[in-house]
Amino acid sequence: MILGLWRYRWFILKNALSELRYRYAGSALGVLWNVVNPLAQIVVYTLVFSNIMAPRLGAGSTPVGFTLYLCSGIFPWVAFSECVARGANAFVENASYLKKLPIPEQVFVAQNAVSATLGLAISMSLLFVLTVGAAGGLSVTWIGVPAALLLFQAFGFGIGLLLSTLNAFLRDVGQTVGVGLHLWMWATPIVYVEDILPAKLQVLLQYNPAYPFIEALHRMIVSREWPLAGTWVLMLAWASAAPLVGYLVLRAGRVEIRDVI
Amino acid sequence: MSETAISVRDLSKRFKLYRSPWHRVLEWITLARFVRHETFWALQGVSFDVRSGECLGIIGVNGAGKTTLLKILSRALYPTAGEFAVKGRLVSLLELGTGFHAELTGRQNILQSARLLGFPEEDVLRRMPAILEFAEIGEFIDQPVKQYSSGMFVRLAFSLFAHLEPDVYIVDEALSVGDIFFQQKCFNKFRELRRRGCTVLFVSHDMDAVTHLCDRAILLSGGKVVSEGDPRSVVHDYFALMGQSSGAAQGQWLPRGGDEANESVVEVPDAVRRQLENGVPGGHADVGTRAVEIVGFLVAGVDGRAGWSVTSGGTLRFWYLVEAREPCDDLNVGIHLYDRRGILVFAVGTANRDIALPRLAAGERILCVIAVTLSVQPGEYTILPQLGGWRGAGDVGVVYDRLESMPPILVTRRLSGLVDPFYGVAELSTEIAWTRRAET
Repeated sequence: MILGLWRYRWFILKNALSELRYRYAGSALGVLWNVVNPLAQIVVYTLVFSNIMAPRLGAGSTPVGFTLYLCSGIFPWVAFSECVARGANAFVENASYLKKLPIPEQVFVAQNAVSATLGLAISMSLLFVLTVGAAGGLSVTWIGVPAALLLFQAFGFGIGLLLSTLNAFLRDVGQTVGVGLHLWMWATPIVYVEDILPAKLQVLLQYNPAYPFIEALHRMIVSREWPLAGTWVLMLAWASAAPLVGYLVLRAGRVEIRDVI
Repeated sequence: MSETAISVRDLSKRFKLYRSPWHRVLEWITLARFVRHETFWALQGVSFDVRSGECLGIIGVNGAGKTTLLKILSRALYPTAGEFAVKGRLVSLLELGTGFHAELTGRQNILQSARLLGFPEEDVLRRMPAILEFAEIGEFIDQPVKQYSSGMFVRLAFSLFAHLEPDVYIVDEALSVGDIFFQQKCFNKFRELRRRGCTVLFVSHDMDAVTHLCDRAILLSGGKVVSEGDPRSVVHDYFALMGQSSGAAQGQWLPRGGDEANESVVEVPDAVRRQLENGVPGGHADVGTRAVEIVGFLVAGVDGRAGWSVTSGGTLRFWYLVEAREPCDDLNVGIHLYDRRGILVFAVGTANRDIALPRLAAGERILCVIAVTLSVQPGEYTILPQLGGWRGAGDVGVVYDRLESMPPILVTRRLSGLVDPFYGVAELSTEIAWTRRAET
């Protein structure tokens, strides 16, 4: 799998880059929209949550503090769900290439993952600027953020890979993914603070594979602490298990994928 | 001794046809204990070799498995069984243009396609001037390809293809797109590539091109290689197959077997009878099942005298003495006529004319005559007499017997005044009239 991806690294990178470039093709601001969009999100969250929601959430949250909390969860989640959702459709969407060219299947899933990661890099950079500027200076724990983000994206790539194979055979998978991701997002403390959950539900969070990633990010960005070693281990486990399982399933279905898409 | 560029061994491809995607899930869950699919073998035990620098023609009717074979060789599909090896890089014209993105410019698309095929960018950049010159697109090269005419699109694709210089090319029908001048240019480029020692797989329905450009050919039918060898003989087999399938496939011709009222009254000259007993000229082709056999064959003029030559516009009679080895009720007696380039000029059989031959018991004989007026260009023609049956496997029918390696028929010039009576391949029924009264 790695070899196939490596051989097509330029294809993946160029396509991911040109996707960022052409997503807003035809608009006056063009590439700038990649920056404007997350910026607008940050502003909206700050306004809405600091003035309307924050008082209800209590826990001594400052306006910027809650924005930080929200964005440090939402941006990675958006990129992760893009990996999963677009990954699931990668084979079906690129059927015209797959049916005629000797490109390894995983290339298309990887291309989506890389493009999502690039978008994530932009929005997280903005968040970084916000922290430095408004939320009281720099914290050394930011060093760990890229690592956590990359692991999260690797996890998303793995799930995308797994779903893309299944979706090739059973299109309903692709339809289910949207619903599933939505439920998953609300099962993860991204928009809300985990303290507001009843204790019973908080225990269940341990079984949510996305939880360690979000928790680690919250710790490093919001509370400026290092995540526990156990969290890192969990992240690493998920980030390597998902692509491995995805690859094994792809290998099992590979012979027929191009026949059915 | 040249080395092998492509070797294919027992290659098979099975497609599973599910009526519902859930049936596949059911199979997964039950670990294939419940089988809920029908299988379709697009390729079955295909084996062949292509030597380095050789041009192999691949022919067959639509659905014979040509495309599946090419897709497997270009690694776009995985085979179900068997193996193949391709030495060096392979580029297929099938693929070209598929990598083109409508919004990108011609230049960007060239680079994109090269990346898609896994070619290094520097190589393509170096060849860019040659690619652009060959494609004749001019300043449009920096416009998005969605603004291209279909001709420009194909020219760009072919140009890129021709300049990538892989070790093995797969050339398909795409070569016959574009105007005649570009086509000729493509063929010239193609010949140049061959001179440089490229190995080529050539897939075409243009039998003339196959006979002229290829060193060898294989004929696919129903996913199997049914004929292999010299392009001319393989092309013969192809037409024989086509002739078989055309009537039978559509089920237009159903014999009313045993209809004695149908029997035409044929006067058989004694000389013909005698000579038919002498057996057949040439030999029996390997393809037939020989359930029904041609035991005597004779070409004769209208006077009944044997002769292989005729004046253009004259009539020849092809006499068949047919004997059934096994009972048969779907007999089709026919003749094929090919010109020197291997192009099928004319083929006809009892099935074409809706003539039902009687049901034959084992050992029974019938005599059949096909009279053909050869209103064709003077020259040498080869004939291929054949007995077929419409009830064969698939839609191609079955070949009972076929004669081959016969001397050619010579059609000589018909003199009528100073000029030839017609020009061209064949004389079509013509009437010419005139009047002085040009005004109404």
